Amino acid sequence: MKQALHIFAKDVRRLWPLIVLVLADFTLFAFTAPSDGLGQFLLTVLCWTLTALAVLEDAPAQESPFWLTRPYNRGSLLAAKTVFVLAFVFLPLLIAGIVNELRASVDVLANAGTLLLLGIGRGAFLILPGLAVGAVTRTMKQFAGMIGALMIGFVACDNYAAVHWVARVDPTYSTDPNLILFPSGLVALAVIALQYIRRNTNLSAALIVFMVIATSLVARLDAITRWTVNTTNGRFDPTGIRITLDKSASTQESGNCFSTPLKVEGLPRGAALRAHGRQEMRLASRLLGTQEGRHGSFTVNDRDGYLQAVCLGGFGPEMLASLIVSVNYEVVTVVPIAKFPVRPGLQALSGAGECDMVTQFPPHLQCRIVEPAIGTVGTQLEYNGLSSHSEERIVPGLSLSPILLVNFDGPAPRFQPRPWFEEAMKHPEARFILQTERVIGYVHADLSYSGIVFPPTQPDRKVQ
Amino acid sequence: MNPIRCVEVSKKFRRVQALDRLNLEVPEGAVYALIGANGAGKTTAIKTMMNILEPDAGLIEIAGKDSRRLRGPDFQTIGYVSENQKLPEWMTVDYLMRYLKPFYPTWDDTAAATLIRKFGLPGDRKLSQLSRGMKMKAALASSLACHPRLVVLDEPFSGLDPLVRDEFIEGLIESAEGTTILISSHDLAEIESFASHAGYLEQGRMRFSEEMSSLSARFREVEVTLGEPTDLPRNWPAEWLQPQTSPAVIRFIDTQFDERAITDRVRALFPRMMELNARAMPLREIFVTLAKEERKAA
Repeated sequence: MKQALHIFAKDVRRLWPLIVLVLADFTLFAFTAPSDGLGQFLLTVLCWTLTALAVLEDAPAQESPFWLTRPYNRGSLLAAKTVFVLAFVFLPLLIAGIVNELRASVDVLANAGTLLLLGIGRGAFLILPGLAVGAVTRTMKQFAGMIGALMIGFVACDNYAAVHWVARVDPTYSTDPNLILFPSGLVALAVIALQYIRRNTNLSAALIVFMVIATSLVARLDAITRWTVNTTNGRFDPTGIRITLDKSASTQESGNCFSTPLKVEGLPRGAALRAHGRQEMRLASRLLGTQEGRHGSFTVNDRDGYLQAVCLGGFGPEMLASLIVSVNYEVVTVVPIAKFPVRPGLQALSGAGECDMVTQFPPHLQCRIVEPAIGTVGTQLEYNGLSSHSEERIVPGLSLSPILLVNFDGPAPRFQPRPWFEEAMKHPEARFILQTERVIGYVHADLSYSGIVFPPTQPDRKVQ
Repeated sequence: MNPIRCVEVSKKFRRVQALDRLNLEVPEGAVYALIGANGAGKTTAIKTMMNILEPDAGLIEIAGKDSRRLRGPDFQTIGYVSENQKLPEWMTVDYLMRYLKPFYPTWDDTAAATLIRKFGLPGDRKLSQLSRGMKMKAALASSLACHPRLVVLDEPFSGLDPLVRDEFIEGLIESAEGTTILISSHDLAEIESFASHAGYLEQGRMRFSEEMSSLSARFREVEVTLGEPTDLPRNWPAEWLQPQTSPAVIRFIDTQFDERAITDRVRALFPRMMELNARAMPLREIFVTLAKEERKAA
């Protein structure tokens, strides 16, 4: 340990300017919790750079590094680097997280376990890539090149798998970040151990490349997703859910898009369906359009459900004589966190935190949610028996209490607010509901519908 | 037990056989000069000895320990200086010494100070600001201050001017008295002045390995004066290299010189021999002779 601390002190002496910069950035995070991607990207880059430079100080991948023929104990060397990243990345991350929680009035002690778990997850993301890739590269230039190449490789493989492989085999695929992060973390730890014990750089680098390709492909495999779902929700059977076209209700038009009504049966109480995976609309001989991934734009529940379909601008009514719709949904359990009235300004969420409606509704909301929320937090607008799920983006930052950015307009310009929003806005009984959501299964349905007229001749469902 | 012992060591880099069943023993207290042309395998041999590279086959023992098992603590008694070594260039000379001190139980502050003074190293200067020669001297000083039992130097003189080279050697000889030294170098004239043993590496194989005294006794440049011009006989001995003929004079290099037998052997080939002179050869000439033979054979 004495030797490890000696090496650690040397690294601190060498890298102190960057350490100061990283600590300053963590301080900024602790007191401002910037929600923008740039701030988080900058912090990630700084942490990776600091970690990599610490490793490259006594690089295991170099052929003739200075330390190799000196009385360095390899265990002490690894310990020194570990202490370094714990002291200047993990600990500041934890402290910044705690400060964040305290500022949001979270009971830190009561949530210590969750906080630590989140800290470990985020710490692993900020530390392990720098350590593992740093351990197989010789210079900072090489490190940056390899990180860039791995990122490009990951995105390329992921997209390839999504478009050319998994989507054709089983369209209900999903990308669960845990399926990427957990095995990646294990491989990164294996690479670090291998490099410091055996110095087998070729094998270690190959392992990293394999890991990136494998996770980008494997993460898409629905089977594994199902396995995860079954493991965590063994008792839930999604096969009891039935989705059909509700021919008794009318289609809806919104701009140049239109929606078809769905009838959902067998959905457990408190659960909802959310568009997820490949969604396809076609005529007998022609594909009209598709959507992929987690659209998140619309949830079907047992009271009111509309399939948000693709836009059909340019198509005439004669082309919609026979419509075939193929949909995939994830089944989510929904637990309300708070209900609050629809009005602009800061809203206290009675223990759940606070919510700031940034502009006049519709469409924007910005909420800081104090309750620990691992998973998705969604927002629903509920009024007079009607409800609509929102687009949401959770900005985790360093905080246990994520900032939820809600936009009822949705990120896609073609998505329009529901016509009854304006009406709901004027009534004091209209409510926003913040809710945690957890995926418990997946369902798929192929639907065909005849006689759709576009634009619809029947009026939209009116708010009573 | 010899500090360094290599038995049938082989190492291949893809298609290039860098070491081919190398056998080498460095006796205790010897100053062993490892010589050979560029690409002969000197650096690879040293790197495998220091466990920087792993041999594909064979055994290397450093102070009786398999080189593959050399770990940090084993380097407390080994000093290694190489032209290829990456030094922590951001450190000042003084900080380098202070930083290394806790790693070595036998670290000697006085020896370190003496070496720094002797080498004229500026203590407050970063290694990155030093010339190549100064860096090598700093590396040597940091390797000798712990009184190692074995010092391994890989091409330490390359690129150094004669003055720095002299200072380097002086420092080495004074500070490492009684220490076993393995040194690979092209600077044969310098090595000859203090090496006790020499090994000649050729295409990864040890061509010879022996004491300097026996080496210089074994190699002679022989000049034979004949009564009349004569061609070289067909049964020319293989150990007589680079024969040159000029009218009535033949010169060659005898690699197995025997003072008592040479006259009779020459006379058997040249009955009209009038005079025979045998001149001792410096290490550099021996090396050049062997290198030329190697190239000719290739």
